[in-house]
Amino acid sequence: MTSNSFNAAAGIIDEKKYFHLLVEKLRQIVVRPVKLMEVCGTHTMAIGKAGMRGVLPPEVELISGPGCPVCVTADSDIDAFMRLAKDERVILATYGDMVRVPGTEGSLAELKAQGADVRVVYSALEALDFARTEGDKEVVFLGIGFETTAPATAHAIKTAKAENLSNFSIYNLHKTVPEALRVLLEDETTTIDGFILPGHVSVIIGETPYAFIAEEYGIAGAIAGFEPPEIMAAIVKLVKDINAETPVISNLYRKAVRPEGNVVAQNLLREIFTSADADWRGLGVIPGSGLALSKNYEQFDAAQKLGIEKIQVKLHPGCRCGEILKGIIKPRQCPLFAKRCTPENPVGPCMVSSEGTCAAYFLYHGGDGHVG
Amino acid sequence: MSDKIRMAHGGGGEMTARLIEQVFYEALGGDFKEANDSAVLELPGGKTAFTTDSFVISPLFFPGGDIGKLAFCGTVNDLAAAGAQPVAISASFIIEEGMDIADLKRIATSLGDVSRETGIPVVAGDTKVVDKGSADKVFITTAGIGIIPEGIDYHPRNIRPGDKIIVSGTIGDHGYCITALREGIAIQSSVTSDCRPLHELVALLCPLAGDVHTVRDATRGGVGTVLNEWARQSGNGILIRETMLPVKDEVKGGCALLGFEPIYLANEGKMLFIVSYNKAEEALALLQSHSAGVDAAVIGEVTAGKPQVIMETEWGTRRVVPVPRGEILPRIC
Repeated sequence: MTSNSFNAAAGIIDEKKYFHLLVEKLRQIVVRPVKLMEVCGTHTMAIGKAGMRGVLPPEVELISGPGCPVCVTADSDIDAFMRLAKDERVILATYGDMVRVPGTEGSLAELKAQGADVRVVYSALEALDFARTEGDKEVVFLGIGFETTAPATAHAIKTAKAENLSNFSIYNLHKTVPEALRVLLEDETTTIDGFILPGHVSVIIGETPYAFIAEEYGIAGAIAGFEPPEIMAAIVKLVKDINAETPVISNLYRKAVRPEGNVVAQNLLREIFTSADADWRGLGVIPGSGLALSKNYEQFDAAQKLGIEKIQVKLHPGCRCGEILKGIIKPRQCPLFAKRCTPENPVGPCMVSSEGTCAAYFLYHGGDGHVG
Repeated sequence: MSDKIRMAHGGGGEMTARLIEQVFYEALGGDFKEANDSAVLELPGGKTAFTTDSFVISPLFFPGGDIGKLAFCGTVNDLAAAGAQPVAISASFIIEEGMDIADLKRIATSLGDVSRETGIPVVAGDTKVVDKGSADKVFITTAGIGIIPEGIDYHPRNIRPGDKIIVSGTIGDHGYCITALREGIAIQSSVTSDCRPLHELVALLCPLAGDVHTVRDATRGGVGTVLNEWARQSGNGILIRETMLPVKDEVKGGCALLGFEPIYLANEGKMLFIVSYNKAEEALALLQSHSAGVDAAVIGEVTAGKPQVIMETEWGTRRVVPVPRGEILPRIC
């Protein structure tokens, strides 16, 4: 922790003043163009909402990564859970973000308007309540998210098993972050000089799963919180490390992230899930980046239970989600952005999710991506 | 547009605008298209404002009011925003079979109380009962007429670059109060709905008539939605300063927790004014002299920029304040 961030944390100096000191510091130390990827969609939104890009020196470019769970949901998965929602036996419980995601035949919002029982919940445990009180229905929870939300799903499954709830299951979309970062680092078309690493995910997994980024690829990473000064502090740290050619993984979010992470949550994940391959929209199948239900909990797999198969579907022609998720292009370089693809009529989930890169650009940079 | 109504069509954002444009403008014709919340009619007795509004809020009772008070104040405030002195209100009730009569009585009494306090009578009404499940307890539709004094014209066409933007008090209280109630954090919450009539407050600005360019109550969709509509209607830019927005600490903190922005939360007792820059201080002083306007503040100005709303953030940066998209908060008013 730098003395300034300590002072800001202690309330000795004003956090706005601290933010501007960091911007000033960044201007002083930047010597060459650097591309930093904010992996996490919550960072993307926070950066947009605080208008941070406007105060960065021109050499520092922020690119948005694949850390928005909705955005990386494969089209074949989207179509599969749409079919689940259409099943009259099913109550589909989901986080609000998924409701407007477009599949090949419309969204959950449209299915709901046509009579499907789609319910927005804030936690997996709410879905369990439906299962307890509506025994004649199969309650399927859309288990989506990275290491952040997976423990909550795991907890719900464990509870369901303990209560012998036979009408509860999950459609499992959970994914893990580190393996996706490896794919980006292996990809020769991407250029990333440093990672702003996701704060919430790190609360669960800790620091060590990122070590390979610095050790094997020589790239710096900084775990950051979500307040503008916290993000700016990570940018300053990354630029320093890049300048000094000393790539390390720094934890700048120590108030929430322990080096070892949340061991209780990790043990729960290990009990309920097992590592598996996962299909990422735009990135393809990434080995070891998914969480499949382990043997003891297989009966909670909705796809198996209700006989839902994934059918490969083609991405919308012209949709460049994959390149956007890898940070190769900016949303406005996609031919569909703000034209065919808008928040009301999204083509891809990146335009829907409250953490989506395209949604962030559309909202906070104006429809055409420019302020002013 | 898909062929079914979705909740987002009622959110007050872009989809509501599109629904009105694609269904009602086309069906109801040109005069309707020019309409604001109140229509201004040239009747033999002078300029008359006429408005209607429906209330489908859940829950029916909330800290600071209930659907009855809300239905009265909502229509009074629409008239007030047109610069009118409200003359009379009508109220129609659509009641679900099985509703407790005691609840209905409580709602009617609260509507009656605010009518008596303001001296604006409820002169016509209607009641219908529908099958259980065809409505949610009770929906109320109110309509109102009011007389617009000579020289008052609050149409957005009057907006000019350089004008100052004033809000009459803290923003987001009603929306936050209802959301907190639904999310179950109401027990610790001290924020009550700001639901109240504002016709007296608006009338205070009558002496500045030519310099008050436009007025709107920032209900569904909040301040952010009204500012975007003004930018679009006037073709001017709007610049607001985040640090000047009056927001209660609890609303700010609660919004951060729940993922909302106060600027999009509904208000039921807050007016937005656009005033000539050289009369802004005078207008502010007049508003602050009334109990409904003690927290009034200048929050920004109209610019010659392109028609969008820009916020200078608390971090000293600038960003767009977009038109809210999708389902903001259903059944908030």
